[in-house]
Amino acid sequence: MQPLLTLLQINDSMFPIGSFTHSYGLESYVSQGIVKDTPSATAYAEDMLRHNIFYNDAAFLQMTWKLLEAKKPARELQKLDELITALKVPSEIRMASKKLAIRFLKLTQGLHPVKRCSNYLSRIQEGALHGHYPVAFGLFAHAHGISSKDALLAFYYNMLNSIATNCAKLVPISQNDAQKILFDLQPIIMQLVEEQESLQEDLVGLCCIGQEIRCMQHEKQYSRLYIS
Amino acid sequence: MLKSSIKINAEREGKQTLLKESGYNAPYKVIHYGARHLHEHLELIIMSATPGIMEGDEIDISVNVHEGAHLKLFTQSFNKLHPMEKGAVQRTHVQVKKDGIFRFIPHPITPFAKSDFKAVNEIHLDESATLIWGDIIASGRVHSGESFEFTRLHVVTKIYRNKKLVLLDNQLLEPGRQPMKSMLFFAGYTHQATLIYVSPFAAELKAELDEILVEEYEQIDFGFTQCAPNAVMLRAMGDEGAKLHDWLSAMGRLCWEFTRYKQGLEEEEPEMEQAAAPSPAEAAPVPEKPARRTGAKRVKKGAPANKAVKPTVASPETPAEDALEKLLTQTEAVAAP
Repeated sequence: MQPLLTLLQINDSMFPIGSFTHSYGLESYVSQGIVKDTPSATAYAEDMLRHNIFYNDAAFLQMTWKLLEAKKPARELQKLDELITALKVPSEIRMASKKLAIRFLKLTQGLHPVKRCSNYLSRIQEGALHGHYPVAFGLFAHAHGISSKDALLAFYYNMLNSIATNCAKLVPISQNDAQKILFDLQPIIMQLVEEQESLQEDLVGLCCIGQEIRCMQHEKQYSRLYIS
Repeated sequence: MLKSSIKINAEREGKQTLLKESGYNAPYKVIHYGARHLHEHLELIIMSATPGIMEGDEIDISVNVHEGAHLKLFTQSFNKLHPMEKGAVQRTHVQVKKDGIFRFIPHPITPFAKSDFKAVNEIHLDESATLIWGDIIASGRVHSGESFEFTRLHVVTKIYRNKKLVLLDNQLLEPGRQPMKSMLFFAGYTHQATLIYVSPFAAELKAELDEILVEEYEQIDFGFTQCAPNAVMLRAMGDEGAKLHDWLSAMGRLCWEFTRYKQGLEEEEPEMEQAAAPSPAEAAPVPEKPARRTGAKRVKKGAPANKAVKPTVASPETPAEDALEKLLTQTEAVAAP
């Protein structure tokens, strides 16, 4: 398979793994009137990239990649899966990662089976592992000759695309403004991808307390469109 | 530049939990909080002879709660971090054995301008053990107009249950690196608080909280979640450290009573709603005879109005000065340094 085409496909926001059903706390921010217009949506998107995704999901993807490059035994992957589970505190966020991982692994298995992906899926289904989307994405992308840098760039892009799309639907902001956020934050994505490898181990999983509280509050939100 | 250590061993003897083979060195002191035989469980307070944590300080705290032992550990006052260049560290190691309960909700950490502090907490629990753990961080000496002027504050809490990592809370606050006032962090507030309950009864406690924590509390912006199959986490933000500490202490008391009830040690189910009221409850367990708290009681539907209400102490927001002074002048220390 052609690596770029595979990456485009698995990273597409229309790739049917259910990512459009999650807002990761944004719905609380909008309902509380904190994210309310294009400037606040832009600030939210930028801060999420820099202070949340960089230390969390993107870091988990990078760590998966490193394990694969170093041909580490499956035990190491299990430890990584446990670490991510211990770090994802809000239950909706933890479950989102699991659900997306399972859907992603099932779908990609039908496209082109990869042994390590099938193993990961069966371990999740047995209940031996929790299952996390960045790990599943990393396992499949690595097996298809996609470079680490491209996988990370695409991963950040997809995270940002989902934030921008959700802002367009929820706040709402105009589709043009949403696309402008996506385009204008390119330099930040490039910078974060450059810095990803040198992220210190003790900074993996840093928490943004305000954002985490909004994610927890979402569990109790009366009227909601998103699962998280 | 002080290197100090605190060691606490709580052991069960009969119905009582007693302090055994413990020790500390300057500037710290660990003494019984109030009368030693007032409770079956053990209540201790850590006191310090210094105004806070200074440049180069290293503190090692070790707490062992043995099988069936129940320990409440208190602090004396806000943990002030003074200006530093190289920083200070605190390492805490906790072990809670079978059916043990450990409750520790220290006063808020107040980082002064240019302070740099790293705290690493490593907690190991047996499957049937219960942990009630809190932490509160202020943005600085807010009333002196000093907010987010510290260099760095890094608090890492790792909790293992049956040797498996179940919770990792990695809190780095570095105003030079992060927009601390923004919506992702303190969101305009000056304090943040976290309460962790890890216990075989966590799922049941979460169900209770779902019923109790339905209203909004004034000046406390909070959320809670089941953060693992056997753990519940509550996080909050606000503008008053003492108020958050009181609230967290009240929630901690609820967790404590609920655990004791579930262990079959309390005959009556705790009045959950009452316990969760954001009023001073356990900030200072005054050794004198408890007085029943006055004020409007909210009664949980279907529960007898007064039956399960435990007498609570009407105590001021922070440990009462006179009560503290009494404690300070007590000559009897619990163990030799």
